[in-house]
Amino acid sequence: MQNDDIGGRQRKFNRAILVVIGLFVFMLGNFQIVNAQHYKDEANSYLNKTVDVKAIRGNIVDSQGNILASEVTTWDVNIDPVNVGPVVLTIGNQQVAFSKEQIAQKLADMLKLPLDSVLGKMTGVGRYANLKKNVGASTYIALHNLDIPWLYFDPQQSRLYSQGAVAGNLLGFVGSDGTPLAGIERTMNACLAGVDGKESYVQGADWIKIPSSIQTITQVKNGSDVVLTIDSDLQYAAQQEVAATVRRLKADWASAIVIEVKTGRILAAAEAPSVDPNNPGGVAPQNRHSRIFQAAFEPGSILKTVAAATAIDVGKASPTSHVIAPDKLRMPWGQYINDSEIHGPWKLTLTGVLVESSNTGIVQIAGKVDSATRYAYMQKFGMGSKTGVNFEGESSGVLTNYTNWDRMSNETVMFGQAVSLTPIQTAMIYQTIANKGVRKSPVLVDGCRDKNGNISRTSVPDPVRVISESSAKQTMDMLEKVVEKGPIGKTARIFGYRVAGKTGTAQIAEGRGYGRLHAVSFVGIAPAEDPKYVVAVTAYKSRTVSNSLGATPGFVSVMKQVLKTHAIPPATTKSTYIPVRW
Amino acid sequence: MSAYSVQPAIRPVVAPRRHLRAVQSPVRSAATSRNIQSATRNVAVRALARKALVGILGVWITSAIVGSLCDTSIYQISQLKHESEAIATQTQVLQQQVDSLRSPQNLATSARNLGMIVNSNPVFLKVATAKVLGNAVPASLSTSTSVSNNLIANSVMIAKSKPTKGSSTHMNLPTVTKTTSSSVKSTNPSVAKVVLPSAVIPASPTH
Repeated sequence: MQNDDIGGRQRKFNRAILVVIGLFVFMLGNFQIVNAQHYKDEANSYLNKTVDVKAIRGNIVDSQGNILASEVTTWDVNIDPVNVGPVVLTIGNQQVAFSKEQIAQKLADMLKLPLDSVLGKMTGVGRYANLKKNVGASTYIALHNLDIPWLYFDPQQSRLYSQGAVAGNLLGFVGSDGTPLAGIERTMNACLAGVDGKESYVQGADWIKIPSSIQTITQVKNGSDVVLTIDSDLQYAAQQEVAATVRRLKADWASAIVIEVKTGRILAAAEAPSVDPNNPGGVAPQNRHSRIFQAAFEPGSILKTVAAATAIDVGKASPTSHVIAPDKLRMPWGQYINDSEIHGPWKLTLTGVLVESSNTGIVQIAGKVDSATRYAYMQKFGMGSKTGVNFEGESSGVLTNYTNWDRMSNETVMFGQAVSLTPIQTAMIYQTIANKGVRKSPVLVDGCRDKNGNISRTSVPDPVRVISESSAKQTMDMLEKVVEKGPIGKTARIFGYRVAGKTGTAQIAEGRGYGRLHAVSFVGIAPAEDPKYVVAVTAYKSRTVSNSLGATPGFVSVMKQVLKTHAIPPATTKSTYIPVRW
Repeated sequence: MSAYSVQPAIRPVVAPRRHLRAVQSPVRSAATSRNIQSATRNVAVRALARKALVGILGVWITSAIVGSLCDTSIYQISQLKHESEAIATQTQVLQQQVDSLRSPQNLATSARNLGMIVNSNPVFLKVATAKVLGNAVPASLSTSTSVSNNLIANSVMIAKSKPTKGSSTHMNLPTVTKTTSSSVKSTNPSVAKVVLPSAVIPASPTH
């Protein structure tokens, strides 16, 4: 009887076990098979995180490897207003309680914000109020060390231009969301910007990322570096000079370009006012871009060199061709062409015309070249088309087809009116003459360099033969006389060196006529016996000096710096003798 | 011969104890048979349950140990990652300080503060002939064509060079006194002995 009871209980127990096991099996089936996906999704939503992995934007470096633009971490400082309250801070070894007003004052001081603004953001019932965006690392560390429980930080990627406004007009800048807005940042965005990645991971209950769970969904690809041809030291020196020039002349702006003759590489492209890309809002909108590539204006007498070189190249003139140049020349249709000063008739050679920068002289000699040929040469010198430097917003300048030139324009194009050029186009004209008549495209970007150091070089348009080597040599000889004997050209001399160059004082178009102020410039080449560098200095709307005397000091200073930087020794030869008058 | 006889000891014969055991009846009832089978199964189930329990317990303990180790590692990794980020932030601050100090703006300003003037004249010494090429004249504020004051903005300069203690805008050069040959003594020139405080190499004044 007792045995039967035991057996019965045993059986009941076994059945219960089986029922429980069955229940487990059922539940397991429900979890693992029937509603598996649902539970999986629900669990994933709590534990699995899928996040974007931001690609790091590439650096912009100069030709010496100095970093001009790089990516750094900054922090957005945020408040959790609902939890704002007094804070106990550890000062030394003591615990000191601070009221929220005292903390607000501290934050206002550290973040350079008005106290009212900080206090305003500290009140409310929300969980988020941004106090300040993109705070630097040192401020972040100081704030973080305060250990304020209702203050939190969101890291962001930001752009840092460690040399400030050095090459700022070239580098451009990015917006607060990292969008490239100007300059190299924009032009070379395809190289600089990487491709964002995506990864997923499982996090623990306390948001700890479980390392073994990280799965890469899309591999992040960081950006590459842009290597410029700019030498930042030279750039700084040139910017110093143009900034001083703007101050001295009370000009609207000034620029200085340094070109390596044989390669067309731009070693410096300085402007004033210059923009500090860390704070583009610090300058007026018109000063945030590069006028060297984007501003076209009538260059004036600088273009007499083109007219003279053309006349020599087509065999219509030589450096010693004679002309009588009055101060005022009446054209057959009754209009006058004037020189910049009143003088009697000058018996000049073509070289003398350049030395004296005589408008009446150049139109008489270079006017022997027909309009179609002159126009073709102007095109070959690069006027009216982009240089090939591939800078965002580059201007082509203005060169009207010769068939649309009126009788006066047909003459004035020879001394730089009725045609507009950017400063880089002007500089490249002189590069052509210095480079034995072959025009190169200016190069600003050496290439795009990946993280392994492999550079994909910028494609450069083929060089163009503009004038013969002989014509270029004769033009160089004439330009050397401008610096040796010219009344203003003399001020561009550099002791011990042979320098060639040309002055330019251009009237600035205003409305239907010309205004009172001028664009003054000087473009020089050194050493003249073996041309290596072109330096082009322009000051726009000079208010204190109305001729190239405003530009030559800047030229001398920049060219001296170039000669020192590249260790070019003084000349050991003398220039060719060419008569200036007859 | 003595005659006596020894009676052999007679041990009482004990009948062997019979062990009684139930002998299964060759004809069993069905109920009995079921009970027997059930009991056998119970034994097997218990054995299985014991094994399963031990197995589950083993897996659970192992899992707990491994889990605990993993948790410790995860928190360690997380902690190290935080430390790494803090170091990266410190590195960034230091790098920005270095960038500020080496920026042309800072160099120009500190050079100027030290009384230095840019000598814009390119001058070279031709070693073969010992000839000076160029205009070798000292720089002065009136003759220098280069701009010495910094005019270029840099809003991210977080450090500036500080002039060293005692420095002035004019360098204190030793006065050279012309001596006659008779006044020259053949003793060793006195060389100022450099003594480093606490035998520590002085650090750069910049930071």
